[in-house]
Amino acid sequence: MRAPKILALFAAAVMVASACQAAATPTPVPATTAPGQTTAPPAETPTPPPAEPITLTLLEHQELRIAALKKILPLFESKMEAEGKNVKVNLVELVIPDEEFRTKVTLEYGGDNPADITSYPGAWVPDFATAGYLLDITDRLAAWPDWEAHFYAILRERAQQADGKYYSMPRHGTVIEFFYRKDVLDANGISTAQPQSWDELIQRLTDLHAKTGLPAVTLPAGTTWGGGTFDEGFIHIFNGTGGTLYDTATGKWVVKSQALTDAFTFYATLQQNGLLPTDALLASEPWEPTKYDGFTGTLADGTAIDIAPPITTQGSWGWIYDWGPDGARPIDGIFDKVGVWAFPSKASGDTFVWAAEDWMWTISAKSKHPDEAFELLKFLNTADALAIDAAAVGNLAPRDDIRDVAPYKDMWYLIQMEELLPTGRSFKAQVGIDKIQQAVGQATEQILLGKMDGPQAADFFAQTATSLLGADKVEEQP
Amino acid sequence: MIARPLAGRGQALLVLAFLAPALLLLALFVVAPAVSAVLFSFTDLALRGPGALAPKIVGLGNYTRLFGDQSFVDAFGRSVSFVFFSAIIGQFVLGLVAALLLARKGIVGKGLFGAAILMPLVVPETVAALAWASMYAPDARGTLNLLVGLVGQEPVAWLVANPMLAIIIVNIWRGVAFAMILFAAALEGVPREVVEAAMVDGASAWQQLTRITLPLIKHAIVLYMLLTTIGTFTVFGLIYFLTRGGPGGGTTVMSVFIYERAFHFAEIGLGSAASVIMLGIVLAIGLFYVRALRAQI
Repeated sequence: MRAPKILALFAAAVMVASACQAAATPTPVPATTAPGQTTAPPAETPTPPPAEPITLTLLEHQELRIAALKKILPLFESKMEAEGKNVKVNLVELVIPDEEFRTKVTLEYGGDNPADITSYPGAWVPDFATAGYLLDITDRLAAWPDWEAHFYAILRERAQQADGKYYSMPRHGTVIEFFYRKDVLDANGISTAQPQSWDELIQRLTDLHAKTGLPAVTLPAGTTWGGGTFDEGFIHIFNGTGGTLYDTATGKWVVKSQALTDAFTFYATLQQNGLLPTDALLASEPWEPTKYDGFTGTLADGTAIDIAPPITTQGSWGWIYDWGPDGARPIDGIFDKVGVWAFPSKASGDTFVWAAEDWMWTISAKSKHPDEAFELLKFLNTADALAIDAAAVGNLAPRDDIRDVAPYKDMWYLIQMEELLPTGRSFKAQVGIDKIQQAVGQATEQILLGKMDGPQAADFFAQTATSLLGADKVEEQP
Repeated sequence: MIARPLAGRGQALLVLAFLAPALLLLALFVVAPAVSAVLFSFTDLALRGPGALAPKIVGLGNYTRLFGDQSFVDAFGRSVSFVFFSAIIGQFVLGLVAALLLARKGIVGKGLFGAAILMPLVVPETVAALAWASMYAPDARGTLNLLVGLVGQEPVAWLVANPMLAIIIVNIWRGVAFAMILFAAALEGVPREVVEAAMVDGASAWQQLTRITLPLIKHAIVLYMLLTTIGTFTVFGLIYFLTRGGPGGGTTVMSVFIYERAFHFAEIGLGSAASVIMLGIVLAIGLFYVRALRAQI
């Protein structure tokens, strides 16, 4: 009986070890930045004498943006040199998907030596700012005449956080609309005039589907599209309801309302009528079969397929980043074949485009060279640098005075969209937006799976959002 | 010359000295994180947002929130299903059958058969997940869809149509080798003369299995159950790589739930509370099996 005893002891040891491993979580890095530190005036920051060499680090995770920065950063170093300053910029290239980058940046900020400067979607800023990770640049922006004089008001307003301060500066502007294939709609006798309401849009999609038998529109949905389901899909439908998603008076998220039910019902109507590319939206990389294969009518290996869906939500970057000559999946003769519509609303005649920043530049609160880092941000937002950076990915200038600067000035399609920035509609991210995005993803996924209709998905959204945010951070509205 | 044994205290010190490195490693990498998880579970510590700047003690708040959260309860239910069908039923049965087949005399190609079953165990988890992602690919080029295409069927999005069954099959595939090895070793220990005596007495093959073989390898079975139950409860990589807990949360088991809360949403306090609950469940299961093992002794 000795062997079984040893076996039992061994088993017990393994059980304890395994169980402990299951429960172990990596030690989080405590937040070491006190609120006071983030608001320290520039004069109190330990800036070395100008003659001493200073190296700033700039973290970037998209290839096209890296390529643009490689052209711009030497110009900044030359400018600094001309001013008698020895400032170099170490460009840290980390090409990874957005969600992984978010985790990477989170861990960097929690550590002792984060990059001085980085940029990411504006929706990430509230969480990072309230964590004390970002440098308060309110005073610096106020002292920079260009900020008030040339940056679009909508972008300045969006950069201001709930505490009234600024922790970020827009990198670019962007406009999101419906992009459609004129050639496909014309071939099927579908009007390309601006649809004035949801009903008119749905009727047009239904007519198209009746003729082709194929899905008619790509409206990001489900969880595999990540934050894109919210940013490139849901919010543009919700903005057409006139509803409120975040109650600034109470500081709570609205998780149940008629407007939310209407938005989910819009999705359900599309799904039930076969207008959405359901299987593609449930795939692991849903943009591949929809915005790339489907919208261009070409597989990655060059094989021609049906153009379906020929209508999709898309930002200004589509002209270059996705479908431009050097983009992910070029469309020959794109300006002849592709047109744009504003988003229609539930009510007729209330069309709008999404107008917001593309990404935000931020400086780490732990930067040892905040003054030089802010100088770099200002330089990145000067005409020549901005024209290169915005044009590289097909984004819009966040300021109104670079339309005659090459190479941006040659991109008339971007300038046309830039003109829409002042009148566009958007939603300002608040703390907890990542959980709302997840809840929207899960609720729309239930619709895609055919398990829920609009009201059921709205209830599911309310339940999921409450679970993720906590009951004390949500409310209901009529 | 006979070596004189060390006195009691000296022997204890010697044992402690030999155990010290292992104990130190266990303390650093197992006990300390587990204790940390327990402590964090009583706070609203986060990696982003206000909880990162000034975490507060919330007492049992995280636990109250979890037990009132239907998605956590659902995740627990999925974990139980996943463990029961993939480990207790699938891996156990197939592993035992494989071991019994390998134990038979006169079977041709035993080595090849054994190697084939062993292969999933030596493949890294990410590679295994990629291989199965290719098997389950929803288009006509997916391996399974190529097979169903041969009989004129349309391609199936396997990971959408029945995601839980899909990941259960993958986990059975991956774990059956371990079961086979353990049971094969145990079967080696079954006295041949006992089986032969049963045969002489006219016992059928089924009777030999259920009344002779299985009772004699009971301790190995219980040990296997202990290891596989704990191991399967904590499976994360295979599921996350294949489905990320979807679609519709259909494969969000507890390990995925914890990952999402702790890292995707950076809520370390809440994620730690869920981890501690899982630790408690795993410990309870472990104690149950250890008692069962003792009963065998």
